[in-house]
Amino acid sequence: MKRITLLLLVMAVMVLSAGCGSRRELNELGLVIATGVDGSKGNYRITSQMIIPSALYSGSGGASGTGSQTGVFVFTSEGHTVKEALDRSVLKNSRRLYFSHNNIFVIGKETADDGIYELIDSFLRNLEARETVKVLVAESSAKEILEMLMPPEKLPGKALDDLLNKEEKVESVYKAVTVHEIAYMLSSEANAVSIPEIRMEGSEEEDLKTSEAFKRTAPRANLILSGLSLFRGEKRVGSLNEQQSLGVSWLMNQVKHQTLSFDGSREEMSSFVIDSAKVKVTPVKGEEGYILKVRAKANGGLRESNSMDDITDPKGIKLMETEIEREITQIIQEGWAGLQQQKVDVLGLADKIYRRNPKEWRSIQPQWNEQFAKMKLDIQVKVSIKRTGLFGESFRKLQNKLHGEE
Amino acid sequence: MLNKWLKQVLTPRTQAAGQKAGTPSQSLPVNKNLLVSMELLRSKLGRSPDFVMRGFTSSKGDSPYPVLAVCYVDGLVDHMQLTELIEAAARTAENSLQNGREPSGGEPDEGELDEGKPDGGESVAEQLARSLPSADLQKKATLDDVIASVLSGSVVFLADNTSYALSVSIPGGLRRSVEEPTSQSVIRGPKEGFTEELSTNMALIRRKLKTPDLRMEVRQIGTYTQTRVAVAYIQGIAQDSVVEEVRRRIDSINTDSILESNYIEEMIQDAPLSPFPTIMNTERPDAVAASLLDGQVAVLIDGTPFALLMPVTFFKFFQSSEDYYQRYDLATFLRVLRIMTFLVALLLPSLYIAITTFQQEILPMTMLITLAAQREGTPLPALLEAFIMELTFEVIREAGVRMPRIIGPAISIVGALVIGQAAVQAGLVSGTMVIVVSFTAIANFVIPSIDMAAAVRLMRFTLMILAGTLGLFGILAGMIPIIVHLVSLRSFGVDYYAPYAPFHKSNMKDMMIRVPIWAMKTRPDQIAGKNRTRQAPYQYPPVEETLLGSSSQGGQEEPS
Repeated sequence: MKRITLLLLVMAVMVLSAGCGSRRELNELGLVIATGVDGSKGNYRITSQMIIPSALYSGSGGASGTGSQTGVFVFTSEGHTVKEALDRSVLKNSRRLYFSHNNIFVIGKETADDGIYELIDSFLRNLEARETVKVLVAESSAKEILEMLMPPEKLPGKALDDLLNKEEKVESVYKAVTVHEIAYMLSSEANAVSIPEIRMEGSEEEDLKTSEAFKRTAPRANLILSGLSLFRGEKRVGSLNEQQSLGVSWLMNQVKHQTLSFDGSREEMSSFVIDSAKVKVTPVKGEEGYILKVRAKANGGLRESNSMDDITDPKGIKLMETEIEREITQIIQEGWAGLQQQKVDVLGLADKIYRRNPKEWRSIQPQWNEQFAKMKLDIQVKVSIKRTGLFGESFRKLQNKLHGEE
Repeated sequence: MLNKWLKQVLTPRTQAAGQKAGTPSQSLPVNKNLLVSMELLRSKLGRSPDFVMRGFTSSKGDSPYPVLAVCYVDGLVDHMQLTELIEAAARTAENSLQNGREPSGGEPDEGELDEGKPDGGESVAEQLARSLPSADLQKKATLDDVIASVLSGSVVFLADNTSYALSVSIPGGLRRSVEEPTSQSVIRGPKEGFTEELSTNMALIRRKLKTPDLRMEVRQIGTYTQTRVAVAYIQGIAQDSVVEEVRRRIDSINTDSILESNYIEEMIQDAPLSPFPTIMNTERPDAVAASLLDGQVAVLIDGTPFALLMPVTFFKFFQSSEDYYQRYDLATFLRVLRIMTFLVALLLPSLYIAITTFQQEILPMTMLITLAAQREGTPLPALLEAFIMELTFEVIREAGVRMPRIIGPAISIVGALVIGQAAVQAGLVSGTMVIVVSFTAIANFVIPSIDMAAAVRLMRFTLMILAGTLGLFGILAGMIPIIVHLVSLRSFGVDYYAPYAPFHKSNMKDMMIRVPIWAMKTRPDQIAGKNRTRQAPYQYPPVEETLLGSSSQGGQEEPS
């Protein structure tokens, strides 16, 4: 009797009171797809890119909404800390910001130079913010990047995410890094990390800030991945250009698919597409300091040829492979030189040494940066051309045979 | 208070078995004086116009009083046979040497009795018994027995000077013929269904199971309805303990009426307060035959085309007799599909509510945007919206079942256009909600058993409230008790959730997966008793090797 009454009471209380507090209807949420941070310690400016769902899908029709509306709404709020800045947004925005679907986190140049530990803490501590968010460093301010549209995509935050994913799979120049990976790299012995950089290209940036962007066939500005920011500890210490980033990508064994142009014996360019590549990097103790042993293997096919070599003959193929190997070696060396110049161990070589010999690592740790800058390279690249495509010798060579050399 | 009431409701029936339901009257013997008996019968039946009674006088004697009487209820007997019987009776009376008597009002005295009986010869009753063209002739000693047989479609003959009546059962009159079952139709398979007539239904089963081991025990339940209830099982396959339990439970029923199988079902099932059925019903003779062969017991009830099957397990409710009439691969696919739709019907609205109001983070972004765009401007919270739409559907459904057929199209237009489309266009409900509710409704109809579908229908609302207040955690908090309950249920001593809990490996071949018929060597052991072997092993089609063609080599594949 008593127990049943109690049970009924508990159920009634459960239905009437519990849970309602954390309930949030979909139309009360401000879905944020990209955030950016500018400013320095003690004074942060957070820029949020919020989706306007009704602009993307009209209520009953289901098709994409009207063209005169942009799919996102961008606003900035200020505060002493990251969290404060985020929560101050209620002063300007009617909706409760919801970060579960945040795709991109852009760090402004000023903040990157100032330090990023606080940002990472804020990500790791909060339930809603996910550590799988991809991070970019803006060459100017994060606000500027987030205010840009990226035609033909309606959601720039999503477009940046897709851009990073596709780039990683198709060209492998920059590897997207997540907050989690950054935290992991920074807490390792190497204490360094590389983050892709993004910047605005072109002149008329206002073009990209209104729905006008969708009305032009060629907007006079666009966003582009432009380099790699290097962080030692929490601060950005420098950046690499595209060519150097490519080398770093090779050294980090991140090349999945890439098109390489290489010079033939007579300075004619051909294209080789890498389908799979494997790079093994090991620091080996030499007579004077460490030597970096790099062993790379790449498979792929020929996709464009100007070569005068006879590629129907294994000897010709061999020759071409050596040319590609030389090209890859050069790329790797360039990337390595860039890293050495900045003295940033983004490859995690320190961890490799530490894992092999912790005691020795402790002894070289104080002067590691100098050691790193002095390290020699020992590169061996092995390339094999698996396919030469549907055509045999290059069309140029055939023409020369038919009509004589011009 | 609730406890008290429950206790009262749940008191075992045996305690109350002493008192009889209804008002049984004191049984009178058949009076030797025919006119007295006739008058008693008439008055007992309240001089009802459909009770027909006629007396026959003897032509040899000179008395105006009848020596023989026939009585029956018009409409309950077969007229063809009735004519023959009456002819025989008339002839017997005609040839009788006996005279009818005046109603003396008291016991006939010995002198008259001797006078009435021709010396050493047969009495009228004996002559009649000899001449009636029927094999099913019964003697009834009391007036109550006479009335009972008259009311169940017999013709009863009363003779003067005899202390018993002769009853011939010739049930007839208008009844439905064997038709295709309306509630469980199949594409391939027998198209006959049970009727309201118990004898027809018993014959339909008998036609499928031509074995002397098929036992049917008939008893009458209900003081007013006197409904005939048959317990059918196959001796040697069904477990004796289960049969005995069914008998015991049915015999303990003490009520005034049994009008449909549900009267019995609710009186004998294991968990009467559970939403889950522990007894199955079917209109299909082939389903009953298959169940009997699995060792189940069937209960057939006069007056309804639905037979009860017991014991059952949870997963039996997801099997259709057509599973065995189709290829095994398709049948397996359909069984998995049914279990999945069961979960959809139970959980889809609550999952939708929980995810859109609590756990939005598990939705992919594009989907979230679509849903958010639709929710833009809808006035009600998701829980209320779902509740209203679900209730609306239940209303439309109930209206569809009850309304006259002619108004059907009107209801579907109102249902589909006004409530579905217009509500979305007016922005009162979101389009996704309509999809969720409609798909749930359709999924509910995939469950082959109406009882199981009804259980799902009710539990869905509880889960929706839990989902609306506690999110996914609430659904979990609702599902755990449901599963605990399912696993703890029993049906006539058989574990309800078998063969999964407890796990029986050998019974898996006819649960989620329906193996080919040739591989079903044994019966399910949780239901059948000792006689488990269904067929000889290795029944793989024995194709002659010469017919296999020249290209194939080697012998036939033997299943391992």
